[in-house]
Amino acid sequence: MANLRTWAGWPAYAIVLAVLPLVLTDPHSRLLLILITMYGMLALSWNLTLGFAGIFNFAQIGFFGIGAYTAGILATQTGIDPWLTLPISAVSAVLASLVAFLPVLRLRGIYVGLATYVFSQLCIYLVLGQAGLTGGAGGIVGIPRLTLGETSLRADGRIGYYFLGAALLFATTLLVRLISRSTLGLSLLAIRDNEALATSRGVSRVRQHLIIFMIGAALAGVAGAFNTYLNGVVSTDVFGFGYLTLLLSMIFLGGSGSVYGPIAGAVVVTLVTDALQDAGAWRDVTVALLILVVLWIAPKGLAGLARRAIAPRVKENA
Amino acid sequence: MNDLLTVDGLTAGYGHTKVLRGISLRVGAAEAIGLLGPNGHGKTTLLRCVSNLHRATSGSITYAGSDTRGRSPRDLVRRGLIHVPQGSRLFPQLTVEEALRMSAASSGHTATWRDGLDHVFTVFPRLGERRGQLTGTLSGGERQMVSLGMGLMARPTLLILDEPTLGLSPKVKHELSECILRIRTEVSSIILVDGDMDLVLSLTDRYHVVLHGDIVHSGASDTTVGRDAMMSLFLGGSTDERH
Repeated sequence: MANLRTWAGWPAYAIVLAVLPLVLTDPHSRLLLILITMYGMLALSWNLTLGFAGIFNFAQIGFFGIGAYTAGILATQTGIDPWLTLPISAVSAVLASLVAFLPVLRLRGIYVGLATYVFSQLCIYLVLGQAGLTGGAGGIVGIPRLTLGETSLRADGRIGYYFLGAALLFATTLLVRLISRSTLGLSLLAIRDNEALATSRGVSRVRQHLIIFMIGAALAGVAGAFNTYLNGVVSTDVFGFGYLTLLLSMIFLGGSGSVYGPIAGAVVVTLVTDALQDAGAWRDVTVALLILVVLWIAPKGLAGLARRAIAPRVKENA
Repeated sequence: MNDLLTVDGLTAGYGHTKVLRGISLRVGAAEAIGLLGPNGHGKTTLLRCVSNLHRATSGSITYAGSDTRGRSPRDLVRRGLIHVPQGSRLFPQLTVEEALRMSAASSGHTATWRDGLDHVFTVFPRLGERRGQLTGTLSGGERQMVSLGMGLMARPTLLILDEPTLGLSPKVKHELSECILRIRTEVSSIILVDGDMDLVLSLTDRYHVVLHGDIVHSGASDTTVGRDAMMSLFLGGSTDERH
C-alpha cells in the first residue's frame, strides 16, 4: 500500500508530459516546453552533486558544454548516426568529470566552487584554441537534425524534440528519485550532514562523490547534445555565465536537495524569463528579486513550500 | 598469540600536543575490555587510532593478524572492526531505517541488510517503532540506540563503543546497558569506554585505567578490588564512596 502511494504519481507525471504539447500547440509554447524539459533535466543532474552531495560543483556547466560540442563535432565531421552521439556525449562528459573531480579530492566547500568554475572557463579556451575542430569563436553551424525514420524531429512545431526532451526528463527524474533513496543517495546525505560518523561507518567520501559526479556529468552531457540538435548550432555560450545563473536560479528556487524541486524551478524560471523577454535588464532584476523573496519566505525553495502545505495531511494519514 | 587486537607502543597527538605516550593494549577473541579514566587523557584518541580515524605517530596496531597501517577506515569496517563514536547528531535527514540500511551497505552487507534490521529491532524494540522517523527528531537515548544499531548492522567482530551513555538519564542508561549486555554475547570482542565506572565494570571482563596517555592500572572487572583501586587512583588515596 505504501509502495503504491509512493509510485502513484509517476503515471500521472507521464500523462501530463504526453498531453502538454497537444494542448499547447503554438510554436512559441512548444519551444518553451522543450526548453523546460532540457533545463529540468540539467537542473536535476546538477542537483545530484550540488544538493544531495553538498559539493560546490560549478563544473556541471562544463559537462553540459562538452556534451554539446561532442555532439556538434561528431555530427558535422564524421558520418556517425546523430542518435549515437547522445550516449557518446555522455561518455565524453564523464571523462571530463574525472578531471574536474581532482580538486574535490582535497579541497572543501567554496574552494571546490572556485576550482570547478575555473574548469568550466578553461573549456572555453580549449574550444577557442582548437578552432579547426570546434570552429573557434564562430562555433559550429549546419549541424544535421535528428530524424526518426524519414521524419525530422523539427516537424509539426518541433514535436519530436519535445517528446525526446520529455522522455529524457522523465528518465532523469526517475533516476534521481531512485538514487535519492538508494544506499548511494543515503550515504551522500550522511557525508554531507556528518562526515566523521559516515567515515566511521565505512563510507568513503571520495568514492561516493566520484560516483555521483560521474552520473551527474553523464546526464549533463546528454542534455548538452540535445541542446546542440535543438538549436542546430553550438557556440561557447554553452559554457557561459548565462546558463550557469539560469540553472542555479532554478535549483535554488525549486529547492536544492529535494528530488522534484529543480523541475518546479525550471518551469517557473523558464516561464518568468520568457514573460519578461522585452524587459531588458529588468528581466534579470525581477528574476533575482523573485528568488530572494521565495527563499526568504521558504528557505527550502518551492519544494519546501509544497512540503509544508502537504505536511498536515501526512500527519493525519500516519 | 591469538589476540584479535594488539596495540603496541602507540604514540599519537594533535599538532604539538602529545596525547598517547607509548600505550600498549591487547584484546582477545570474545573478550570485553573497559577503558576508564578522566576526560582528556587519551581514551578517545586511542580508539580513533585503532579504527584509523586518526593517524598514530608511532607504534603498531595489529587487528585479526594483520597490520592496520595504511588501511582505510572503510577497509577496516569491512573486516569487522566497528567503531561507534562518541555522542553524535547522527544523520538528521535519514530515517532510522535508512540510517541502518546505509550502514549495512557501507560495510558490505547489502544483500543481508534485512536480517540485520530484524536483529537490531530485536535488540532495540524502540527503534522498530521509530523506523520511519528522521533520526534528527529522536531523543538522546534513541539516537544512541541508532548509533549502536548502525554498528550492529556492520556485523562487528570487534565493537568499539565510545561513551554510549553520555548525557543519558539513569533510566535510559540502564535500558541501554541491558542492550549492550545482550550485544556482548553476539559480538566477538568489545572495547567499552564510558564515564560510568560501574557500568563499564559490569559489562566487561577486564579494565584499564588510562591516565596521561598511558595505562596506569589494569585488573579484572568482577572484583571489588578493581573498584577500590580505581577510587584511590581518581581520588588520591581515598576509597570512600563519594556519591
